[in-house]
Amino acid sequence: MREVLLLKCGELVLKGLNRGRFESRLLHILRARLAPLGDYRLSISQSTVYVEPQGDAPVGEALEVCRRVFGIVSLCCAAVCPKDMAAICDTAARYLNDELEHTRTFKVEARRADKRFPLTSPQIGAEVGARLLEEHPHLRVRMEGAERIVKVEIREQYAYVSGERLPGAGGMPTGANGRAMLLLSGGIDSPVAGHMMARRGLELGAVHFYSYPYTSEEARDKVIELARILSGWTGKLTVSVVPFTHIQQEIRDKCSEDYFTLVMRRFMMRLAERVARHQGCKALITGESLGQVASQTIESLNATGSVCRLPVFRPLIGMDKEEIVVRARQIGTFETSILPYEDCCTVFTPRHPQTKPKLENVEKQEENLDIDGLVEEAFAGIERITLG
Amino acid sequence: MRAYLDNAATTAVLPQAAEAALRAMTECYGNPSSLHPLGRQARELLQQSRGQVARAVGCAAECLIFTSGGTESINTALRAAARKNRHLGRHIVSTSVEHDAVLNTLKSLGQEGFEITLVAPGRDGSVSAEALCAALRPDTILLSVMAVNNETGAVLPAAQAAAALKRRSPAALVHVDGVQALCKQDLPLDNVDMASFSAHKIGGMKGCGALYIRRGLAITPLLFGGGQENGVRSGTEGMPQIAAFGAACEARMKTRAADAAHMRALRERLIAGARALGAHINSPENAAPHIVNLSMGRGRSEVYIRALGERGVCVSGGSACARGRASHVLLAQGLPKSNIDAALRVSLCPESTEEMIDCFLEALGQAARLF
Repeated sequence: MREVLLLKCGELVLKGLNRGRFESRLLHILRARLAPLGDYRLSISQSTVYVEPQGDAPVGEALEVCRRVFGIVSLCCAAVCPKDMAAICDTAARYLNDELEHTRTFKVEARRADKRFPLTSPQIGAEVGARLLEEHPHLRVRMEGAERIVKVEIREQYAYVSGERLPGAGGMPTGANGRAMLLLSGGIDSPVAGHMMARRGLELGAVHFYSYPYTSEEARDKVIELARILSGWTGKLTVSVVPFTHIQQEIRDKCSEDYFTLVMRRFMMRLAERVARHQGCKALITGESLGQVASQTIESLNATGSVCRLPVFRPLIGMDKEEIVVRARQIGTFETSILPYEDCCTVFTPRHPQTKPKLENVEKQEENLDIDGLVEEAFAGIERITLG
Repeated sequence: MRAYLDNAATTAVLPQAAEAALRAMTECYGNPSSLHPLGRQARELLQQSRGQVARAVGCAAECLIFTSGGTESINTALRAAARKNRHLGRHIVSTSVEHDAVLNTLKSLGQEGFEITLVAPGRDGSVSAEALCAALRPDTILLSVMAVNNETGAVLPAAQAAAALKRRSPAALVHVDGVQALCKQDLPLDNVDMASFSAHKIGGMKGCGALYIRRGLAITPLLFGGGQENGVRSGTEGMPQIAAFGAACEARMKTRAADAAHMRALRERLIAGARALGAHINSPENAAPHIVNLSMGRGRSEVYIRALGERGVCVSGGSACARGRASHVLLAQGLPKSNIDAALRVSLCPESTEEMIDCFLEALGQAARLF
C-alpha cells in the first residue's frame, strides 16, 4: 500500500497576496529538511502539501521531521488508491484496521476535488462508512463529536484515505518574517524564546558568550547541543561563540561589584547587535522574563536594552518559570538545559546586585572601559558553528 | 603535555608493564584454567605475577587474589567481613576521609542494619590513633582504615588501630585500603585481615586490582562462577592486566627507596614554591611523598584546572572521582570554604621532575591572577 503525507498549512492561507511567497517558502524548507532522508515529491494545493515518498524513502521519519516544521497546523499519513469505490473501501478497511479496533465512535468525511467522480461526497462517505461498520461491528457512527474522523479525498489522479491526524508545529514558515539574533545561554529560557520567535516565521542566528577558563568546554558543548536540538525546529542554525573572558575581567577590575551583571549584560547586547547587523538580522531575541532575576527588573531591562537600536524581542516576558519549563520539555531542550555546567553569568556574580539601577549610574560605571575596543576585540575572536 | 601531576588519579603504564601485557595478549594468551600447554604457560604467568605483587604487598603469594580493581577489592572485603561477623555485633568503625568506594559500601551496609562510626580528621588532615581507638566498642566487628589518603596524602595510623582492636576483640576483622600506599609506604600486615590494592596507581593497567586475605580467613565472594582465585573471585583471570601489575610491582620495588626520596624532595620543592605564591597547604606535614593538596584561597578548582591545562599542566581538584563536588575529605578537615572550593591535588610519580614542579608553580601563579 502506497502512503503519502498530507500537511495542512495554517495561517499562511490567510495572507492574501503574500500567500504564493509563503507557500513557496514552506515547500523550499520542507525540501531542505526532507532531503537527508531520501527523495520526496512535494506539491501544494488547496492549502495542503502532499509529500510523496519516491523509491524507498521512509514515511515515518518524514512525518517526524514535518511535525517540527513551522507553518503546518496538522498532518497525517494517508493511503493512496485508485479512484474506484471498491478499491477505496478495501484500502480504508485495510489501512485503518488496527486503529479502528480501539475506536468506539467514528464518521467518514469525504471530499471530491474531482467533480467528475460519479458519487457525491455524502454518498462516498456512506459507502465507506458502511464497509468499515461491516468490518468492525463494535463501531458506532457519530456525526457530532466522533472519536475518529476518517477522511476520504478524491483528487485529480488518486483517492486518499487519511490516517490519524496529528498536531503540527503551527506558526509561520521559517524566514517568512526575516532574520533575528538569539542570545543563547545554557539555561532553560533562551532556547524557548528562540523557539517561540522562530515559530513566528523568524530565521534564527544565535550568539553565545564564552568565558574560558571560568566556564568549561562542557558548558560550551551544552550550548552547542541546545542549538542542535533547536535546529530540529528551525533548520540550519549558526552559533557565533563570542570570547567574553577579557571583557569580564575588565568589568571586574574597573566597575563596582553591584554593577557587574548589568555592565556585562550591556556588553552582551552590544555584541549581539554587532553580530546581528553583520549577519543581516533585524532584531534581537532574549529569554528574559520580568522580575525573574536582578537583571530582569524593569529598570535593569531598560539599562541593558538601551545600548542597542534593533528591536529586542522578549517572548517570555510575561511567562512564569513553570510555563517556560513546560515549553522547554515540549521542544526537547529541558533535559540538556538542566545539566549542571556554569555559564558566564555565574562568573563574578555580585553578592548584592543592583535591582533598580539608574541609567546614568550604569553609564558612569562604564566610563573607565574601552567599550568599542573591547567589543571589536571580542567580535574579531568569534568562532562560528553551524548545526542542522 | 609538559607536566602530568595527577598520578594519584592514574599513572602512565610502565614500559615493562606494557611489554608484559602485550606478551600476555599475543604469545602467552591461554586461559589459565586450560589443561593444554598454552593454559599451563598462562597458569605459570599468573603465579609469577601473583608472586611479584605479593612481594610488593609483603605477604605470601597464596594470600593474594586478583580483582578488577580497588573498588571491587574493597566491596568484597567489607561485605564479606560484615557478613562473617554479623552474629558478633553490628558496629563498624572507619574514617570520614576514606575513598567513596569504602564510604558508599559502608553506607549500603548501614542500610542493612549495621551501625557505622566515621572518625573525623584533625584540621591538618591527619587522623589520630587515639581518636580511632576511642571509637572502638565491645560490639565493633570491623575496622576499615585507609593507609594513605588519596586527596591529601595523610598517612593514617592503620596499624595502631588494628592492634588496639585485636587486643579487645580478637574475632573482629580489619580491612586496610592500601591503594595509595602500594610501592610507596611500608604496610605492616600484622593485625590486618584484608587489604585492597589497585594496579593503575603504580604503572599498571586500569581494570586490575588485588585483595590480600589473611591465611585461613574464609570469605564469601561477591561473584559466583568458575571458582577461580580460590573461589573468591570467579571469572577468567584478566591476564594482560595481571601480568602488567606484576611487572609494574617488580619494577617499582627495585627502586622504591630512591623513588621515595626523589618524590619527597620534589614535594618539598613544591610546598616551598606554593607557599611563596601564598598557597595554603591542606596536607599534613608527615604525609606520603607523592600527594600534596593546596589552595590559593580564592577562585574555584575547576577554573584553575582548566587554566593549568591550557599551559600543559594536569592536576585535579580533590579526587578525580568526585568531578567537581566539594571534597568530603577537606570538608571533614573543617577547612574554610574558600580553601575547599579552590583546592588542588598535585600527585607525583617517580618519573616526575623538578622542571614539572617549576612548570606547575609558574602556571599556578598565572592562574591565580584570574581571580
